[in-house]
Amino acid sequence: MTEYDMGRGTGPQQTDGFFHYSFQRVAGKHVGEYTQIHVKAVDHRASERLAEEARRTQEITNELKSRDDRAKPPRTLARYVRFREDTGGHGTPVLVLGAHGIRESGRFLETAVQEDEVTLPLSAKQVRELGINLYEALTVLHGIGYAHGEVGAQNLLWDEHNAVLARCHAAERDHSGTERGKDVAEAARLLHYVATGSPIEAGTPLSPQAQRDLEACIRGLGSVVARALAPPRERIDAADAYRWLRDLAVGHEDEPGGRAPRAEIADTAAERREREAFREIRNRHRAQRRARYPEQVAPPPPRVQPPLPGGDFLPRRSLWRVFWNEGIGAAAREVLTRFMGMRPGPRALTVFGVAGAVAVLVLLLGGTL
Amino acid sequence: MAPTNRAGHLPDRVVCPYCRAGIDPARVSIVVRDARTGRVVRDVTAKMRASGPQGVEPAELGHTYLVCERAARIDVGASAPAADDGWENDDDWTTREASDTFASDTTTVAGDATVSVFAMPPASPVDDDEDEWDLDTGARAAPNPAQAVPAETEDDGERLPEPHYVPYQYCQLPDPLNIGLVGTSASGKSHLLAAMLHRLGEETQELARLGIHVQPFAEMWDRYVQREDVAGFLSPARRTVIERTPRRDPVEFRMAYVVISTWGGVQRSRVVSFFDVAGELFDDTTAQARLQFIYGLDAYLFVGDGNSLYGWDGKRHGLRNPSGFDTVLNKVNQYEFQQAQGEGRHPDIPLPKPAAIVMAKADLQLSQGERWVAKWLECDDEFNLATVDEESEDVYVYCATNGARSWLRPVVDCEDVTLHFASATGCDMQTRTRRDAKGEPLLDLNGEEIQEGYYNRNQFRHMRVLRPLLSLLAMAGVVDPNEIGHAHVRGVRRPPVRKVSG
Ligand SMILES: Nc1nc2c(ncn2[C@@H]2O[C@H](COP(=O)(O)OP(=O)(O)OP(=O)(O)O)[C@@H](O)[C@H]2O)c(=O)[nH]1
Ligand SMILES: [Mg+2]
Ligand SMILES: [Zn+2]
Repeated sequence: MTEYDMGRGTGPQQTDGFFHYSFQRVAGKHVGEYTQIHVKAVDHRASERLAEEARRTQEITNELKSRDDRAKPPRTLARYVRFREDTGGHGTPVLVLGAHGIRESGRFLETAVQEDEVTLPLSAKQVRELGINLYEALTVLHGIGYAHGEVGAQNLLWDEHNAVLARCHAAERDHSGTERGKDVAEAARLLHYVATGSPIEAGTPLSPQAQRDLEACIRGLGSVVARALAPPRERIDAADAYRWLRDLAVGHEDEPGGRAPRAEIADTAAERREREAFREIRNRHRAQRRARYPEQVAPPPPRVQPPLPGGDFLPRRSLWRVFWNEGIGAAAREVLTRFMGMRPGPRALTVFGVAGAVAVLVLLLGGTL
Repeated sequence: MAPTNRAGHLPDRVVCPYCRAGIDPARVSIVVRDARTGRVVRDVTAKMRASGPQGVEPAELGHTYLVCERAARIDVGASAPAADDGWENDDDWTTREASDTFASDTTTVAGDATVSVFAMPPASPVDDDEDEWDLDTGARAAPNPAQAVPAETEDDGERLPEPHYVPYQYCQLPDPLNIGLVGTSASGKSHLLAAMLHRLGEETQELARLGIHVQPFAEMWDRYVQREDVAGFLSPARRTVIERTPRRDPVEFRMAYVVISTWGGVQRSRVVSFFDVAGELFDDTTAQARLQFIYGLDAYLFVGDGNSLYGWDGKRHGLRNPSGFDTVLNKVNQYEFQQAQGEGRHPDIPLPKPAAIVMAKADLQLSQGERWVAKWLECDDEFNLATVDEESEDVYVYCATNGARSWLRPVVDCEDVTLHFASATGCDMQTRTRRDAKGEPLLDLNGEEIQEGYYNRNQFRHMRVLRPLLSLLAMAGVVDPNEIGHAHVRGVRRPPVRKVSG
């Protein structure tokens, strides 16, 4: 352990066979607290690679700085701090990276998994957070025209909450965009890996089963990953993936079945146009229906369909019979409904008037018969 | 209720669902047909007229039909499908009741005249002297080529057979809701319908929660599920494919139900029937007469084949074949226009009919990793109808941005539309050799093994097939339109009040 002890108090350590890593929390003068990662090559070949990595990381960091002087360093992308070619003559070079997004408990994810410090799959919340950080880092990197070239668990720092993308030894300026597309796909595979614990083959589209597994983790994740793994021309970019992942909601784990509310994936411009077109049609039709079928406040009296078999076939009672059975009021009402099309109701005056007429009629009829 | 001369408890007028002619219940003959052969066994007109449904044995009622033939038809022109042909549509109940009374009075006064005056279109001459012969001379003959066909015709696959038979039960209730499945051949109509109807029988509890009770026409249901292919499809042990609908299949409803709805505190009953004809009829101009029923549909279920968005290479390239929707919409629009002209009113634009558009076979799109489909198809919210509009929007966006715009025509043409992803089977068809009970392969006449299509039993599932139907019922006012958040629906006259549950 002492061989890469640099005389300062080091934090936890990790090794992957090529490099030794030690982590420590430091307070920067202008940038606040962050975690430093000291990367030390174990042999000559690793030293060369480290020098290359240092060169590229510095280039990227400078590029980022040059864009905006006062901008804060990216939270999710490790930045260059310094590189010491040689420590004490026979020593090996050390690259110091700065990671702002993680605490000092951060580790390289792959190594942590290998050493059983972390077990996959991660929880839905962790997966989502990791995905967001990862694509945020790629968005930053791609935004200045670089592709990372080796997105994977071995290059991802993770502290159980947040992730920082590091190790830009394969990073390159990407003029055509194909390399950036590859980054997006690699990141999607990494997401599948941490969400399910099993890797998927590179270069293949997402299988329905795999997609379903992802959906089971976070509703909507499957679709994002599927689109990130789509054939290059249909593939989404890192910024889209970042936005969509942020829109995904993680279900409460105590909810039965862990059902998350349905995740909304933001529309592309064309999709948004169509959605608005649809709403417009629907509103127009609704207005047309309103004119066609104005709703009435009073419910209609329930219409009773033929109540009893045979009921329809009873001959209608004669006026005379109504008068005998139910009296003069009922007879008057009967007259009203039958001959004047009025609805029977307590229209006392009319009823009274007609009642009088009926009485006269009945008397007359009775007299003549 | 006033006494009427209506034959066997029929409403004043029945509209033949197949040829759209108005049938005069007072003149129509009623027969019992053999369940298997469809041949007329006996005439029960007199008995039915005398004692209504009691005129036949209860077991026979399901096999009792009205005979739609020239002698029984009223002027076809008067039977505009969109016009008021039911109670629900009548705006003023009191007027309606009054005229009812008058009509029956008039007929009573006229002795035992069998002509229901009320049912007559005002312009038609009234057959006062009951001269049957006169009716046949063409005074009221149908202006319709289908009915101009003389005497009886054989079923030649083009024309509607003459006469044809309308189930008695169908005619008992006014204002039926005829739902037609529309879509090109092999779009998955028959599979979707079978899955839907099966689920309808399964989910009585959920349906009760929606305030409806669904009661199949018993004999029709038996006949339907006993069909060899439907039985195989629905049997969990077999899961065989449903055969393509033959072009010459009788134009009849596949199935009909009495739906009793109780929401809103009022109990109503309506017949809901389903038409599923061969998709090729929609692409064929010689089949006019067979397509006559589309003019009488009250609601459409447009079925698009999600798989037709993909080419042989499995790549999505958008629709290349006609959807079959246009044929129907063009015809119905034109008919509506002519009707309006004839009646001196403005045509109803958009069509006053609801439609549901279903992207069938969505399981295939799911396996292609379509995120729009994935978002909905695997959700467990079939009966949560509050999200129907949200789903509709997504399906619209999906179709519009993926080269399937021709499926969206009904959105513009019909007054109320919902769109859905659904799968009747949950997986794709596979083939195997058909075997008999002993496991021996069955051979055809040439000695070759007969292949049969089937679905993987473990993957087979109906996915969201009831949602389109329930949405359609809601848009037609059978289910509370509020369930899907729609308002202003034909026949629903109260301001819908949300049920307070729990
Ligand atoms: N994968 C999948 N295939 C389906 C589904 N529904 C139907 N199919 C297939 O689609 C083909 C046609 O289905 P049908 O239901 O007979 O289609 P149709 O529209 O009734 O066809 P016509 O009767 O000719 O008009 C069959 O081979 C089915 O296997 C589905 O939900 N998923
Ligand atoms: Mg069919
Ligand atoms: Zn007919």
